[in-house]
Amino acid sequence: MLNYFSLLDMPVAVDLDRALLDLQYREQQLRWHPDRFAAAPAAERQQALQRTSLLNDAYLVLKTPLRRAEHLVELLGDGVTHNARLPIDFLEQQLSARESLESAAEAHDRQAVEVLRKTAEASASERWSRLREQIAEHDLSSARVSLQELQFLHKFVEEVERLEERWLDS
Amino acid sequence: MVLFSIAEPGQGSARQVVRRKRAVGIDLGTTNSLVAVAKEGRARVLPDAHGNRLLPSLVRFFEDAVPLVGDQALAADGGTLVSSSKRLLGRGLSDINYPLPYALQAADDGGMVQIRTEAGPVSPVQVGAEILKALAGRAEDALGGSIDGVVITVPAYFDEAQRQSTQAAARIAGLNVLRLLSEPTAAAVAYGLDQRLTGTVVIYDLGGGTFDVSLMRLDQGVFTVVATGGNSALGGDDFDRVIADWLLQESGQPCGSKEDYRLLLQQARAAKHQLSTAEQARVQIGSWQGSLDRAKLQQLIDPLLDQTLLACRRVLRDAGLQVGDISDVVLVGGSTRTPRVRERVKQLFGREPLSSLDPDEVVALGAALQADLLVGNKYGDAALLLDVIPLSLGIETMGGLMERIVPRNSTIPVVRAQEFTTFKDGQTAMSLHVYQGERELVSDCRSLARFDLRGIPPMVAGAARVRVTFQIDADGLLQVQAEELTSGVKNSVVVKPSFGLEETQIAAMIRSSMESAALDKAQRSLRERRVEALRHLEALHAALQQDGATLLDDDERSALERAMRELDAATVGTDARLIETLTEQLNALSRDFAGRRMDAGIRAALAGQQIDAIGE
Repeated sequence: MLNYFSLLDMPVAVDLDRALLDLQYREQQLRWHPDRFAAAPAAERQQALQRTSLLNDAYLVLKTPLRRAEHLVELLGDGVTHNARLPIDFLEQQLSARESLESAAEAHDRQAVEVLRKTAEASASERWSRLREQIAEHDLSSARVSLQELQFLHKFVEEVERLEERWLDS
Repeated sequence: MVLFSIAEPGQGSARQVVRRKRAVGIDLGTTNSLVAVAKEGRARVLPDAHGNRLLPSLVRFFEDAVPLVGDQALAADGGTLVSSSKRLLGRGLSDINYPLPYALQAADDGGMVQIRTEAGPVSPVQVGAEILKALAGRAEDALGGSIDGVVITVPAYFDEAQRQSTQAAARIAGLNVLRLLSEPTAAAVAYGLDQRLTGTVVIYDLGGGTFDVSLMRLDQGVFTVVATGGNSALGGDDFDRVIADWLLQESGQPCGSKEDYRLLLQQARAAKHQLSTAEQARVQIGSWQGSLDRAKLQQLIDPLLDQTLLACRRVLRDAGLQVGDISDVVLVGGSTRTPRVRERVKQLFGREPLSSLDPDEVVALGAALQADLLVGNKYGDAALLLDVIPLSLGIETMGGLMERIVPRNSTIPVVRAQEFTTFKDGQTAMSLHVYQGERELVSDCRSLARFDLRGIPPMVAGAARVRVTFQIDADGLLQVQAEELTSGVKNSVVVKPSFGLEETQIAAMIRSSMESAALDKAQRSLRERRVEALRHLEALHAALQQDGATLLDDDERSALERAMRELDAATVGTDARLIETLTEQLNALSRDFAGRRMDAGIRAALAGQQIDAIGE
């Protein structure tokens, strides 16, 4: 599978230097963008188009922490994607958090929503530390569980943000 | 130190002269259009022969003559005057729910709306082509030769159908399009290259018919569009409309015809312009007299401005940025001249917006800078533009749901693939319907295209693996491919929007444009011959009156007068060749007379001189 880290000349790691990433992306775009090949033969133009499309994908994945971690775990596992089995107590926690969010939304209880957001964010940051250790120890099956839990938490926080935006607009 | 310079034999001077390529930027606006050219990082707008920089986006169509464009269209009478046609590009009849000073009709194939004119039904694409031709002609006159390529700007919010219609218009006008560029992006290029602006910049672009807001990062020659938003049916024309409606209500005057409403809109616009500098504007409609002040204008347009500010906040959120992250706000578009617009923008961003470049010209200037780069005229720092798609692209899935394949604000070019499967046993074909928009149901999104993948080998439901690939190039144009992976059956389409034009329609328009170009030339030459003949006749009349009796005998005089009558009669007709021949004939006949007049003149002058000399 395609290694986005090497495509952008970045070290393969969970955490990366954002300024360096931006710089590498810019350098590569300056070199490969179709505008640089406006007068080139069709085959070269097509190549430039494909190359920059890949660069854009790679940049999007690497600059988004969760997607970057997913890509990394996929690379370490030779491209195998497993659906991890999530612990039942985590799923139950998520269900009750969602129910609380719905009733807080109905009641327009901004404080309760804020508490739910903080809890989810704390829970996510705990899983990020776990994930870093799991990747360091090459424990991929545990890393996949952490990743999936992070996805749940991420979606939850997104929902809270959407709700807060609706309140902001009205 | 170079002591000798050795050149290859036959090469002469080692320096080779390469012709600088002529590329221009065109801002094809709803109300006004412009053309600009750039050289070594500086851009300038090209005026017409009278020094006008803006070309009103107006075309007047006649039953039996070539259309007139711009100020000429405005000055002429008769025919059908088409304005604001940009708002009709890539739109169906049912999309147009506001009054226009001309009539529309549905196309035979139910595609893009058509305008009823004296010259017959005209597509908005043809109107655009006429304006582009006029601008290209202006550029050719100014630069002294044919144009190698153009960059044309479009509102960031333009969807696929509107972009493709713009490209079609350029093809009909015979132009080579280097790139379609978003208007706010072009404005940012102008500020980035010309004014050396850096950081995260908001471009607030309120034109005649569209509103765009873009967030861009300007950084060491790389300009990245971070997010865009806006409304493709909101602009200064709407200010005019709310003012006109208010005037109508206040005055209690009836507004019977479309012509009445057009005049009312003109008055509304004039009042709006007055209020940019004055506190109050007087208006007279029929016998009614009244006035509009700034406070009232504010009250009328604030709801419209609220919509634009909401879009600004949404764009900030999309980019995950706060107001405090913004280093500058740039105003673009003639409608930002309204003081209330500046005021509201300043309130939202907490800083004075920039408008050091003329808001009417900045888009064309940026387009010209980009055109110069794209055509290969390199200079100094390399500049690169990374643009995004303004609206999500996807396909319809079971239950009329929109499955997003490329989300909006994705940097282009972009290639994205997604796999789908069959839902019936033995299903051998799959219909793919491509949509553009942000809503969950396809019925709320805009249909772009529909195509079939056939020849899938019969399998149980869910066994086929159909990979659908969306490829969007640097112009933002979409190509969709579908492939069944187990059998390798493929099909692809370059997306032809439902409200676009068929290739055959475009070809027919290009043909008719070339024919009308020939007709145009013939008409111009007829006009020139007529003018020349009439000038000649007038001069001869004057000469005959003065010297005919003394310098010509009766035969000479009657022959000359007969030739003059013949030419005079011919100038009323349309035969340019006949006028030319008769003019030449008259020239030959009058040559002798002219010679004698000159001799007599010299004699008289010499005689005069002698008298003077004696007098001294």
